[in-house]
Amino acid sequence: MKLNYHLLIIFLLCAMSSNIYAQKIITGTILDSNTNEPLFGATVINPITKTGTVTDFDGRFSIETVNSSTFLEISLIGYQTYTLKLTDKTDYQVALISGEALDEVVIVGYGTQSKKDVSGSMQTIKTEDISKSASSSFENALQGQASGVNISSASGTPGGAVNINIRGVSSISASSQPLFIIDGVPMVSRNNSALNSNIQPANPLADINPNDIESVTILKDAAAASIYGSRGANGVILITTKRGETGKTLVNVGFYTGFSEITSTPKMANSNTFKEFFNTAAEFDGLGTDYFDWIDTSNGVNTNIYDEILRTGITNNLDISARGGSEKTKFYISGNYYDQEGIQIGQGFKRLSSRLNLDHTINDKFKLGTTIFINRSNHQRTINENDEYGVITNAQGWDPTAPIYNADGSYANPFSYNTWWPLENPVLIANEYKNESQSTRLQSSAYLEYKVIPNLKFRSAFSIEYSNFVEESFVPVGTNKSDEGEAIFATYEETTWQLENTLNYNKTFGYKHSVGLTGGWTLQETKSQASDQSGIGFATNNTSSISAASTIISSTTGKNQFGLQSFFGRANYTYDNRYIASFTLRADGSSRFGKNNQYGYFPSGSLAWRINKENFFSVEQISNLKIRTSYGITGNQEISSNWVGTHSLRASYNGIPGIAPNRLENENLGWEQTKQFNIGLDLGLFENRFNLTFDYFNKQTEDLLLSADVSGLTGFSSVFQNVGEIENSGLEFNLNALIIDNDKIKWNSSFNISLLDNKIIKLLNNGEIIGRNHILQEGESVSTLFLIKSLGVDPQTGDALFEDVNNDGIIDFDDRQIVGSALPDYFGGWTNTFSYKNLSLTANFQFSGGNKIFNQSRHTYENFGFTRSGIPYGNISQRVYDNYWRTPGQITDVPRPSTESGQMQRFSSQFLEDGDYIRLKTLRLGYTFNADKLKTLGLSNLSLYIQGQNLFTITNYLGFDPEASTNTSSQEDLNVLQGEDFGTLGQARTLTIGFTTTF
Amino acid sequence: MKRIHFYILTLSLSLNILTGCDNVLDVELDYEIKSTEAITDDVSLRSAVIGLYSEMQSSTYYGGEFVVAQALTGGIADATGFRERFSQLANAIIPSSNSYIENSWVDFYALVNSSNLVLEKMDELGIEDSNAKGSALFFRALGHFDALRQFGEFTNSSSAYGIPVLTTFVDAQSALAVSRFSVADSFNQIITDLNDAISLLEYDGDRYFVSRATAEALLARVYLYQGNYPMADQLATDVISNSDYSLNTDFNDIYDIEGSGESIFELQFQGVNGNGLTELLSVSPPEVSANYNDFFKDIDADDDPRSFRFYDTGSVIYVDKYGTSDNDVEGNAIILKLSEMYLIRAEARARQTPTNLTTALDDLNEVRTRSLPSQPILEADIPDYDAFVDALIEERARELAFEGHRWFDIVRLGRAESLLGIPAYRTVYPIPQREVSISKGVIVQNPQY
Repeated sequence: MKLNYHLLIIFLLCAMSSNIYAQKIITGTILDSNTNEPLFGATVINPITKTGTVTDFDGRFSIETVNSSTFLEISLIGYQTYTLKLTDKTDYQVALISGEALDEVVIVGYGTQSKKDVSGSMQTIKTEDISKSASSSFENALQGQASGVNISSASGTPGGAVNINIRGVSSISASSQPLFIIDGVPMVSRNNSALNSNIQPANPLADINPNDIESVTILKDAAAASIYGSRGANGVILITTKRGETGKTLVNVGFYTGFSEITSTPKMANSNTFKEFFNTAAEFDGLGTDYFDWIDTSNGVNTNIYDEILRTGITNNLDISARGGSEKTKFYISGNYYDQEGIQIGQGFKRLSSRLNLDHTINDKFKLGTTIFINRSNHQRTINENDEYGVITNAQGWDPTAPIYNADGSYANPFSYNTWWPLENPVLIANEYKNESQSTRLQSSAYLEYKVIPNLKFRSAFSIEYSNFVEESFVPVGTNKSDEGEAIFATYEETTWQLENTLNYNKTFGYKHSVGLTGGWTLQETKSQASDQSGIGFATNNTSSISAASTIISSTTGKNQFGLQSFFGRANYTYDNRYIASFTLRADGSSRFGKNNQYGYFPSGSLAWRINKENFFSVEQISNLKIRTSYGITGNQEISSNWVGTHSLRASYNGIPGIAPNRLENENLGWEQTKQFNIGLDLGLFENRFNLTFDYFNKQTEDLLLSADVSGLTGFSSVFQNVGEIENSGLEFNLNALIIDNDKIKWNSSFNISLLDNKIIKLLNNGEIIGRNHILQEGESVSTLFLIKSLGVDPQTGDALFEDVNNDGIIDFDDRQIVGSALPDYFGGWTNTFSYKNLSLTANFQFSGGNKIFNQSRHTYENFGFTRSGIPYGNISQRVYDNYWRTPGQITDVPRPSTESGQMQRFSSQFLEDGDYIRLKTLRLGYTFNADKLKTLGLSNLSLYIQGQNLFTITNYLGFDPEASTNTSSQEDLNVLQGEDFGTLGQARTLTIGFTTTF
Repeated sequence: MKRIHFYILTLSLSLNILTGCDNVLDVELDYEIKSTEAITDDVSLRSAVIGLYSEMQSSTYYGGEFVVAQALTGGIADATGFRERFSQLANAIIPSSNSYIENSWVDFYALVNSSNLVLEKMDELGIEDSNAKGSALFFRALGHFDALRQFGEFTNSSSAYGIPVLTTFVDAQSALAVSRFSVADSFNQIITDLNDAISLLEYDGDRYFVSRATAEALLARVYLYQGNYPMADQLATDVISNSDYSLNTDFNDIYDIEGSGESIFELQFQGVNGNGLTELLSVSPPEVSANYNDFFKDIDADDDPRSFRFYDTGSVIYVDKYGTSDNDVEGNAIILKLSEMYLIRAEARARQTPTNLTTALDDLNEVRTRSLPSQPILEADIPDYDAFVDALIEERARELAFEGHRWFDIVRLGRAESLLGIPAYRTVYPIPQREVSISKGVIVQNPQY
């Protein structure tokens, strides 16, 4: 009642103020634009005087206005609202267009919101854009599409992990990957693979069929994400899958086949140049001109190793779906089969999935529905980056005089040839070392909606996600890695249940006060268990079963669990479509955190002002002008540990069980907290044909969970503590323009760019943590590269020169210094869609830059003649051969070849390269047949397309591809070890042809 | 009505779960137990004693890096793999950030602190168990002793640079106040603990668990390091005269036969509780291998059976004392063996009477002639004490290579500087810089680092 009282006062005040002005009477007729029939019951409102009237049966109205009134608003259900600009006339005729104006609705956390009322920073990407990518997982399609969202594939491994950072890396030891919510169900997106840690992690999101996705909403700022509280700090990606629609059942079939190969490979020396190069090196060292003549080039093998391990991989994808339903019951059913052959031999990914989304309206008050999704994926991967038994790492140093197969068909052994680096034949590793993983995932949820009173809706949803990962690896008997054979069998199972209860209340009071309230309570619990066994000793290579091992050398099992209880609420208030305010609060309790810190509170607030709705605003061309700002707190709790101090029960000895201290306790362990400020501007011109969005953000992440040093006297070296701060700030710019829009030709172009600055503000202890090639240091960004600095090549001697930082006369690890950051400063994309009659053309460019990559692979194949144990270290690239220092005075960046360790190349900035690139991510030409022609075939739609992915890349990078990274098996590595390329498989260029049809 | 029933049902279901929601925030553990619930009675106390053995097996302690570190810094091993920490050890130029020293410091004190926890819980719970108490005292002494010889100036009895000595359990807070003891005080605590252990433990001839003879053997070694040669002589004699132990006929039996006659204490590694040493020694290329010129060349030339545990590929010499492949993980770590007691006594006697080396030489030859019956060292070969030390160092290298002795031997016998060409201050490892920083200087760095 109090509210009404306030409203009354406001009304009175308004009424009084309007009385001050002179009045005049406006009359008019409202017609239907199609039929020219008069419309009865249309509402005519004068926003200035706050008065209104409705039209009579003749469509006539009459309303009092004041001189200051410049327009009237005319609305009627089933018609688009019309703004009538007032001139000197007193009588008007207005034609209303039928069909409601698309009030675009966006998905937000625990609900939906009208796009115009959004005051936070978020971006929605529609299905058409997603399904246009011929890749296993939908994130690849988002690359270059969303500002502030940096997406990169670590390697070309099919079904391999994708790194997504929304508005920067905001953690060091906890995850920096966003929270994924699929139809309200949080999805476990960690890598659960237990095989060799140097295998590209499997991507759990590849379990989702991209064709099932209706839209993806990315919540970026605190206002949008804080309703997810302790999991919102890295942003949230809300995935909505397709649901049924009333009407005729439509069956949709889509098929494509794709041909992929690597985007580029470095050219290597052949047998003769290899030998000649090493002879030259020996000659420089005074060892004579024929020192390496023992390298046998007589059989002229000239193995091109990349041809041996790489291939054209074929991908086939089949999607079948049906959607339809009655007024009461609607359904969407789909099935997908995806089979991708890797561009490297030994790799592949397959998926079989199906989905059923069902909604049923019981009556006016009740509605229920379910989502069921089942998937089975098969990952075939190989050991690769950063491993001495990696396929690529062994290929990179491969002796060109060594064949792949011996005359008898067996694999050639690198130890029988002339290089030190390769430990195993890469083709043997790829084909015979087995690493297979099966992922099974089941997601099921059921909801009930109850309309308690008009405008108040209760919703209760219960969901379960079950995922299972079973893996097998086998290293055959008689290989260089294992004489007697090794196998691993590992299983991982995880079950998450969630109960979610929400209340939603939306109402407009008077004409101007629009209120939306959301409240909720959720419980979530995740339990996982894993087992991992490895055994050795196999009687034959015709098995890979762990049961056949003669000795089990390790057998472990483990369980993990965490629970979350949360309460949350959101209040939105819009006054007169002009002023928008929103406030969100979430309280999260987590089992991961200490008893002194178990509950965390995550508030946020935002304001927006739609300037174009103001009376004083009269720029006709500007159809939308909104200023938004928000501030709030989100958290991050994605650590693998928890707070409790423990003893291990595994401390057995001589067959007798034992216990030993295992972890120190920290009762104060709590969330990482991100305080984010955002200010943004939305501008729409010419009836929103031209849209511009601009955002500035500043994210301060505090209480970083770090493994803080403790005194070793305790018997421990570290304990998780909340120390450390990171700052991310940036600018995001989005431009979308419908440049041409007529019956025949359409051209839509959108461009986005994000600038990002990442900085560590505070670390523990002395403010730096040094890794092998990386350093964490206050004032620098995470993933900062730390290498010996190369000073180029002395033109007189051809010696490689390095900076001796500590002036001790020795160049070693102590001379490392900061040489650059692996995080891009800018990234973005440019998307164009043209259509002409039945033809459509899409061209998406994507770019990223300002980052450095340490191309450690070159350490293998650009080692300038250095030998180990008297034999060449590895093969060399053609670039080295062409450019090495030959005579005094020669200016080059490739030093004088030498067999001596003085020229052995170090982990120096010599191999540091710019990671800038721009690439044509997608080029797609489509043809849609005319509907009338298809009718005879019984089809309602048929389109054919041909598509190229990564058709060209402009870059100076010397490795396979600048979109590369290694060491991504743990979430911590993803944060701090980016920008290292050591035996990473490059990206694929793919040509796809396909069709979609509906009947 | 139906609708309402349905709604009530849902609601009550929700409420049911709500009442159980506190459980959601409980921590459930799998292979772990909360520390506060770990040691509560005599059963769990004895399990905690077993845990001490398990801690000794750490892959950076006796199940791995501690053992190879002494060979690397002692100049009889090469770092042939990729790990920076081993190259630094091999060069005997060890930065205070070396990750081996960081880990080993933690390993030593984990053993000490866990032993203290056992001892304190024993008092607190009123449990009388002389074996458990004796074992815990033994492990506390061993942890302190390893810390002292790795990080303290143990050869200088008047040095202030001993080690932090813990006789009570410390947590992250109380640890910060502990500073270094003098070398003399550090030795005193170790010797007190071992004497207490000797009085609590019994002779049982067990090779895998600590017994009275184990404590005596370790005490013999401690006295030798301390420079108390009469006591080293006496304790070594006690063990040598113990009929439970006798030299194996074949030197290599100690590796082939678990718990052989000569073994006093060996760490039993089994299956999934495997020894991490082969992972360092038997991978290809090996992280650590034997040095040719300064070690393998001579014993190979003598066809000494003690060279049979090394495999020379021509480019690298594999150490096969713990198994021949990295999947061989059941090789035991030999902690104390009888031949070492002879060598301790030989050294103790030579030091007591440097001008009369006859009895010392007898002990030395006891060990040498087992493997090389026809090549005893003759008195004529060792004109003076220095020559004896040379022979002793060579013999110890052959007998105890890759068992965690070499570096301490050449430091104790004063040969590290000449053999390795390093300045005097480098004969003591630096204290890990992280410990100096965390303690805010309460733990003082060794001189000149």
